[in-house]
Amino acid sequence: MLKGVLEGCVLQIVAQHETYGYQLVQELRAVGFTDVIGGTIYPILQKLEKKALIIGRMKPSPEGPSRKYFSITPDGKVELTAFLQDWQEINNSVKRIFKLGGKE
Amino acid sequence: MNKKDTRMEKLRDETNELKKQLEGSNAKFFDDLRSYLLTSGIFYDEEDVTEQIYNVCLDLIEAQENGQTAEEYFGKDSRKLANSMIKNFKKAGFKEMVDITLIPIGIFWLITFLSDFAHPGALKINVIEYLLMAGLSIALTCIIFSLVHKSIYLSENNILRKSKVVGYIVGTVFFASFVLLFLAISSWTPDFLTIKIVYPYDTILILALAVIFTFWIVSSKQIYLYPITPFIFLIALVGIIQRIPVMVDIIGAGNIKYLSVGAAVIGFLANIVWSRIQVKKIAKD
Repeated sequence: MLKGVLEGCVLQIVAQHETYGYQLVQELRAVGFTDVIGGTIYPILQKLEKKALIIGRMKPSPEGPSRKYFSITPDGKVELTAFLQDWQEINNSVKRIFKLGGKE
Repeated sequence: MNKKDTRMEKLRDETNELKKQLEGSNAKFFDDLRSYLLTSGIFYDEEDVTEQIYNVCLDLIEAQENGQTAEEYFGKDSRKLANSMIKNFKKAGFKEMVDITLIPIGIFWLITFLSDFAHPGALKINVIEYLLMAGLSIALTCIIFSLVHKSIYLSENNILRKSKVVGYIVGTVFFASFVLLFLAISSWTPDFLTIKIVYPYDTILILALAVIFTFWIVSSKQIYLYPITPFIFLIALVGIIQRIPVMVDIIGAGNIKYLSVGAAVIGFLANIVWSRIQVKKIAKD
């Protein structure tokens, strides 16, 4: 389940702006996924690209050589909406369980 | 070279240039990861693999500039992580798979053909032998890829890593087994499906193949095959000479075998010298 959550988060970041592997890892670490490493993110990017949820394009980077930037596709936006709905349902279920536990 | 090959070559060259910016353990980490990904299989999309390696290199450089080591950025269990990347590599297309398969088959068939051609008399092509050689060439390519791949992230306690002698013995046994298998196929394949080509068609065929081979290696810049060309051309030349009656009269029928041995030795030495020059040049670049 956690891997699916990470995929959803990657999709959300890519939906906000075009990004590349290293930048993505730093953004995830900055919001609290401190254990995230490049080795986890590359397969996720590959998988999302394979499923045509994101698209990678080589373009010049401000630092110098061209690199692969990822952006979300229309299918990716649909998937992101579905993920958010699923996440809200899970989140509500978890909240309800903990709330009930608190009452007892 | 087509557009895809040109792009891959450009990415490879740029990766080699970028790699120079990686320092110490980061450079070693990248070298191991690159070798592991490149030898992951012969049937993955080469462009996808090359592009992934290039982008990983760029990210590692950025991590290094920000004070992170390659291990801190990519992860400590690089083998497991690299395996996750390999699982998601795009598979090679049908044309690419045929191209990859044809190179080892072509080399083995050429050697077998030259060996057949070096024998006096009508040229005999044993179809079964050629099919077995094709199987052997594919098996050998896959085994070599797999062995190199598995040797990259060997554990500290692995005997192959601890002892160079064991590694040398295993390598020698493997090479000897392959040579024996090659010789067994050449010597003992039954000849119930043999094509016979008589003079002058055999000579025309070898000349045509030599022209096609030369055109192919030059036009597609197969630099790693350049060193083997003297051997191939010398053996082909001896084969042609021994099929031309006037040449046999001039040289003497009994001397032809010395000519064959001389051509093989000179071709082999030229191959070694040229290969060494090529390796040194690549290392220098």
